[in-house]
Amino acid sequence: MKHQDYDIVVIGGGHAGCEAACVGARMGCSVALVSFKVDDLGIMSCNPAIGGLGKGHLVREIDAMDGVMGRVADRAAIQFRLLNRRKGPAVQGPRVQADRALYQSVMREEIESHPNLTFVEGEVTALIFEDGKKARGVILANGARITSDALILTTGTFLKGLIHIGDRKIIGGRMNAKASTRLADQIIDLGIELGRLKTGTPPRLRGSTIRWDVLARQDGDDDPEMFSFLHDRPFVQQISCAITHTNERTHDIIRDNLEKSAMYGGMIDGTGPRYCPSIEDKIVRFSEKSSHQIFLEPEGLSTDLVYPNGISTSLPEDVQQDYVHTIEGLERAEISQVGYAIEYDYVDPRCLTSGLMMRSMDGLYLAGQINGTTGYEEAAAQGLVAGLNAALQASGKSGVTFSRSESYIGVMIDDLTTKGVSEPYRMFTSRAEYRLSLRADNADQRLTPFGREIGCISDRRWAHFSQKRDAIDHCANVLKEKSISSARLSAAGFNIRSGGPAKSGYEALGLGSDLLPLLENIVPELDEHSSKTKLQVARDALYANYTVRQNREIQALKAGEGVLIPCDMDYAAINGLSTELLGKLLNVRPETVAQAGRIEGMTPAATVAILAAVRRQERRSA
Amino acid sequence: MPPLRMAEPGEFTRRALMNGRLDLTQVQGLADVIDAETEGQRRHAMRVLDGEVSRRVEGWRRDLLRAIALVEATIDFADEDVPEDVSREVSMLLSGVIESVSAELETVRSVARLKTGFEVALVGEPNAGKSSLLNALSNSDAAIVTAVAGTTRDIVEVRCDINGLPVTLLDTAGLRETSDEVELIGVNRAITRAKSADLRIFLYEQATPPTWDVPVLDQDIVIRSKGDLNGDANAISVSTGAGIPGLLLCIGTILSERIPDAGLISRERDRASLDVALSIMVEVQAKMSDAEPELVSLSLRDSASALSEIIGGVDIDEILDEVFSSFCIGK
Repeated sequence: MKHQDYDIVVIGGGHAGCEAACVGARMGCSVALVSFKVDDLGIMSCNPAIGGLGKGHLVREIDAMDGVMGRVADRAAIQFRLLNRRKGPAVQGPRVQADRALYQSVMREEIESHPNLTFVEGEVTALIFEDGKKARGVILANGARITSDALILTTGTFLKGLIHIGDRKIIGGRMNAKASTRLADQIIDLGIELGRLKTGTPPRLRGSTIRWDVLARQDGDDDPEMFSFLHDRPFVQQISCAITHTNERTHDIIRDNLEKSAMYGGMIDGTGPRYCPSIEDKIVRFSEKSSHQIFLEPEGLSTDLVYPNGISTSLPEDVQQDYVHTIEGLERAEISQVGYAIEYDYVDPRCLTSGLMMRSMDGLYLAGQINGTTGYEEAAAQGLVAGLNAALQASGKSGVTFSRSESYIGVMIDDLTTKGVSEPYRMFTSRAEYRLSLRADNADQRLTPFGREIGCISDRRWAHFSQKRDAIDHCANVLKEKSISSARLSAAGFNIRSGGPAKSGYEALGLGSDLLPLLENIVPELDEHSSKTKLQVARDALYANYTVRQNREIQALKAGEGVLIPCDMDYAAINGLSTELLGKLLNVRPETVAQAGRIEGMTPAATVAILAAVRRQERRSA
Repeated sequence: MPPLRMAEPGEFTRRALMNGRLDLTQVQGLADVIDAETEGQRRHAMRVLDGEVSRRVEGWRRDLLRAIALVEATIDFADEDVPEDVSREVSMLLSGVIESVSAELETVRSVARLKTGFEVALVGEPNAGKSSLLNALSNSDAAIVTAVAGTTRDIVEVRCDINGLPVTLLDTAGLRETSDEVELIGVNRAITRAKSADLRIFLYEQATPPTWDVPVLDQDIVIRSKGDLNGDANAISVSTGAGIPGLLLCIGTILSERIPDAGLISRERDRASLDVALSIMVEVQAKMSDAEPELVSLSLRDSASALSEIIGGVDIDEILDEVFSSFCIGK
């Protein structure tokens, strides 16, 4: 029987698995990525798009950590759009339509080209545990054993995945994919808290049967914004999407057949995401609306498939056909794959550390949809966190935590491990309380130095970043030292009372958005700086007034984050905690006093009591 | 003035704990006392106010939450079926809250009476029995004399506690015609004090009430004295104590009703919160039309968090609940 040994084994080749494997390899660890099929690496099971609001921030942060998702998405992108382009930079989110097949092949190339990374095609049937509390490798269906110091489980919807099409049920985590039931049974046997969620996809259409000429087009941006800080222009040909709408006839058909829908026929127990409702849901919950928008998104340059974004469903096949044909432009559209709902088990993420390791199983990391999230970007970001921490563990170093004050990644991990989930968790910019500082445009300024310190940033990336940062610092310093009288600013078109105190050029940029051109007219020193540099300085300056105040809050947060709670803290011995709160603390096991304070129902008095207990324990062990 | 700020909730306790001045049990004991007190206050306030204030507060909360949700919807779901410009509705919601919070702050003065106390003037001709009544009221079981102070030539002041309310009884001794210049000044001063008092008790001895130099206002108490001598069953008597408990109850009830919103903003911290929230809301209202939505949202959240001790926290999950129930989100 074959036996191999690696630092890290990653199970699953989706977005979490790929990112985890790549960062492990970047950190110098030997990594085995085990998945059913090499062709399925980086597969987009749902819509062929990456990024968006909040999600685009995550992709930029992954790229800032020298991850793969941003670079692969850029190379596969067939349409670039910066959402909220007319709003402030803090809430602008890059998004692309990606060529599904191209994305997979580029991702495969990334995986296969890394010297530290080995792809193993196969089914994991069992995890190897040492002493029942240390994860030490896997056993494959062919009997091969692969041992490792750390295991990363990224099995997506494959835990008890059940597909619904009307009253038809198919066992599996994705259409036409195998289910890993034996592995699932073993995971369930670990005795961890599981919940059930659901999600859905729309029917896929054949583009050649769509009447594109009657539909409104949605083009990409004229000056496309890349995900990766290393890229500056698209790699492949760009395309347009189209927009159409449902109508009353569509709604009538759906309403008449509602009881045949798996979701409305009571066949599904899982909770679905409210921000991604099925067309059945939309029609029932918003019955006053006579029409819903549908985006027709081509799945690639070399395929005829089209993804109709907005009509995910679990109705039977014939009903899907009927309602699709009532929609303008889709009258004769052929369905190549029916829409379906899928329900699956997820692990309550409150059993995980901030490094995404299970507290009860040393060396076992969980990342992606298995933790109750939805979305490729959320999955990849968790893969990055799990991969980093697994690599640090394999190298005998202590793990890293992403702070809420520094990244969306930190916001997500903290939300998951502190609050848990009640519906599939998706990132929104509104979840980040320090949104003005955590921008997609400054992800590298926030994270690349941190990544370099940990050791996941390549020399090439670091050189590129350092040059950019120096240029920005230089330009910002010039503007900070440049004093301009209010009379001069007022005359140049700034909305400011002349006669007020003078402002620095940097402060002047904070007076409103799009003031850079006005400033350039009166500050000739700016000529020697590149427009990209100046633009970035202007974005930083725009929120400077607000971020000063936020920084004070962040200092307070950091103080709380600095107080670590020992993982064996005896909460029962702390006087005065209510039974309810005690239960929550034992479940979440916060790592810092700051995290404890964010647990629902936590009182300031209880936080103080915990703080005191930490101090007492420190004194005792000192 | 050196730069001063109000302590954060629990700040002194935290410092005391960190510096070893208090141990854990002491801190917890303190926390219990604090909790009990604020909870009690809140409950008391809610009971006193027959739901009016709680409805108003719930209204602020709902309106702010809605306003934040509207702005967040345009930010996080820009690509979806949400209105592009929500500034009109946000502005309307905000105007309502601003108006209501301003009105609330206006009542602060009457609520402040809870601390400074009410003034009740005894008015009547000489020998109507004012001084006896003053003594009777302040010496009775229901009225506890806490201090005697401020005796002037013309006005005797007695501070006491009636029905849990701090009350200063004023005995305007010299309401009579006089030619003495100094006494005249005193009388005029007494009249002014009596007029500006929160409540007046007019006392008379004869069968029908006379006219006084001080006008009788709505809710003022007019009562005949010396019931033991004149045999009037409705008159009070200091000698027998007849009618004294009833009079105390009557004073207490009238004054209690003058405290419209006790509890809500009787605390200085709450008043300061309202002030901060109000100024943020007024500021964001003014720049609503041309400010970036993320900045509008920040200000709205800041105002909600300033009010959070009064209206409770507004967290992101509630904001998202509002978004998802109002708009058909999801492609």
